[in-house]
Amino acid sequence: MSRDNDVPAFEGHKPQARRLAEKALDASRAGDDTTADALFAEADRLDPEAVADVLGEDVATGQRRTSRNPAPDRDASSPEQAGIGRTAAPGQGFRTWSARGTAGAPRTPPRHPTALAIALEVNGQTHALTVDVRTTLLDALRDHLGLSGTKKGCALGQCGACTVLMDGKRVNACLTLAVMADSHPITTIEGLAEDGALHPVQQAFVEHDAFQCGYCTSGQIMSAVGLLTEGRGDSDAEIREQMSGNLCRCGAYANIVDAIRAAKEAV
Amino acid sequence: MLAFGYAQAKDLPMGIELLRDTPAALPIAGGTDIIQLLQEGVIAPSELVDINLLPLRGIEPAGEGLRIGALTRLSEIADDARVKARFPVLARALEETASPQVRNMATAAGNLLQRTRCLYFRDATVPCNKREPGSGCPAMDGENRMNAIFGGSSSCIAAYPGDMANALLVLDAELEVQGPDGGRRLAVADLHREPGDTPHLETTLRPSEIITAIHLPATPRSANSHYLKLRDRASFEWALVSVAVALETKDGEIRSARVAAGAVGTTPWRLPLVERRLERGRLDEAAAVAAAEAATHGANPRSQNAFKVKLLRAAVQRVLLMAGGLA
Repeated sequence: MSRDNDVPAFEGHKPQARRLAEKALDASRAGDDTTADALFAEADRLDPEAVADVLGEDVATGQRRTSRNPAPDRDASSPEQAGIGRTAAPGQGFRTWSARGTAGAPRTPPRHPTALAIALEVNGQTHALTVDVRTTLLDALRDHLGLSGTKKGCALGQCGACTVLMDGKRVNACLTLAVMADSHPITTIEGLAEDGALHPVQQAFVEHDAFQCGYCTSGQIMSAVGLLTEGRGDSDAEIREQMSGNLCRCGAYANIVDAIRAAKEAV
Repeated sequence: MLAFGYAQAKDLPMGIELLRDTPAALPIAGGTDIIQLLQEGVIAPSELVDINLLPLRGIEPAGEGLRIGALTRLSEIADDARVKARFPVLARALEETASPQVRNMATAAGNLLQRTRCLYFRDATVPCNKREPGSGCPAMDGENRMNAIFGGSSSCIAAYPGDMANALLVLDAELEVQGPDGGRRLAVADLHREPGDTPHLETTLRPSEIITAIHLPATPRSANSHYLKLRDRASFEWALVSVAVALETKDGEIRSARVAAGAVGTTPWRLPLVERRLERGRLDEAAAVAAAEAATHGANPRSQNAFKVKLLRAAVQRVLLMAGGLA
């Protein structure tokens, strides 16, 4: 027996859920929340996505379109559209973006320099060096300039061990490319002491025993210097919040807070 | 990390031209997300176009509102006295974003374009329809505790993780965008796309377009706006659920409302039903409870994230009580 083409494809409970959601929306517009909630609950049970669609269209007609129903836009809907995960030129497709280099889509070779000569201004001294453009500021400091006081923990901006000051502000050296730091003054832990005297924050860390293994300490100190420069840290709670970008696996937090409070009073 | 070329744009036309001429290029500004993605092998662009030299940094008055340059750092926005006083939801959302170090680096536009924290997207060794269209979605029945309960499709349930976009939704913010065909305005509400069957397409930006500014219009709601972010630890953590709210009130009655939620949708998520319930009366505890009840219609939780349904209702209720001075 041949299939009857006039019978619409089964769409599950979507149409019914939509109808219920639309009725619920009418009840909501009329101010009858009890009815609206009951109808929405029933529609949710059948097909929550249909309910979300109806609510998205509600925003669209009431205020403006939303991302749930983006404006019809040929550019935007074509596969060559340029979202964030945007594609390459037509024909090259998304695969050029994948690090896995999936078969059938050769990666476009770079057209611009893959190595550059730069000048890094670190602790008042200018260093000329040539780096692969992939080099992070952290690796340039440690491996090219031999400034190993800045530590490498996660290399993903999560631990704060690599904190340095760039243009006077605390940043994660692991999340900056060395080529992007060219000509921006940088201060590392090696640049804090003056004439053999420890910086007040360094002194406070020593006096308050604000470390155990010490691996996170230069990052903690640089972050604390940044915090004080920003004029923050008026309470212990604020110090803790403002030091959230620096993890200490030994758990020396209590003494770190003591040290920063003392340094703030001393400065 | 695969080799890429590096080019520095000296001005906006040069930036657009560089992006147009090297189609597999990515613009980089603060770099806080892109460098993570490069390190983890999630993306492999042929080049990076550094746009940090473009004159797009700073906050200036625009009519009754503010215009925030796309390269303004998050800390500069959060610390701005005008933002704090007139658009408090935005200042609060940014104070609760990432860490002080990241806020000093990350830019306004870059924050809007940050990519999902879905575990499978960030792990280049497993399938992901967003990273490798057609490869599958292990999150559907896998580790989906942090994933979306709204706006998902059969190919992707990755949550939009950011904070600022939720605040911008309730502020009716608009973007200035420049591209090869000139400039245009784009509502923040129209920037992000739901995954559908093309989860690798995340925004409505066109090829070689650059976001140049964010416009904050002054509305009767913007100064009475609040943000609540709930997370697994007190600070420097992604949201489990966040809620932004902006209310216009007169003589104790709510005249108009905007409510949006973060970390629950595949895009920043407006809650129109909550808004409608609020727009009918006074803001007291009963009204907050009734409005919050409407927050989760249409939610479609997966195996590990049904808690977000309850948490979203609680968060909406809580932020409304905060807005009404009741909590």
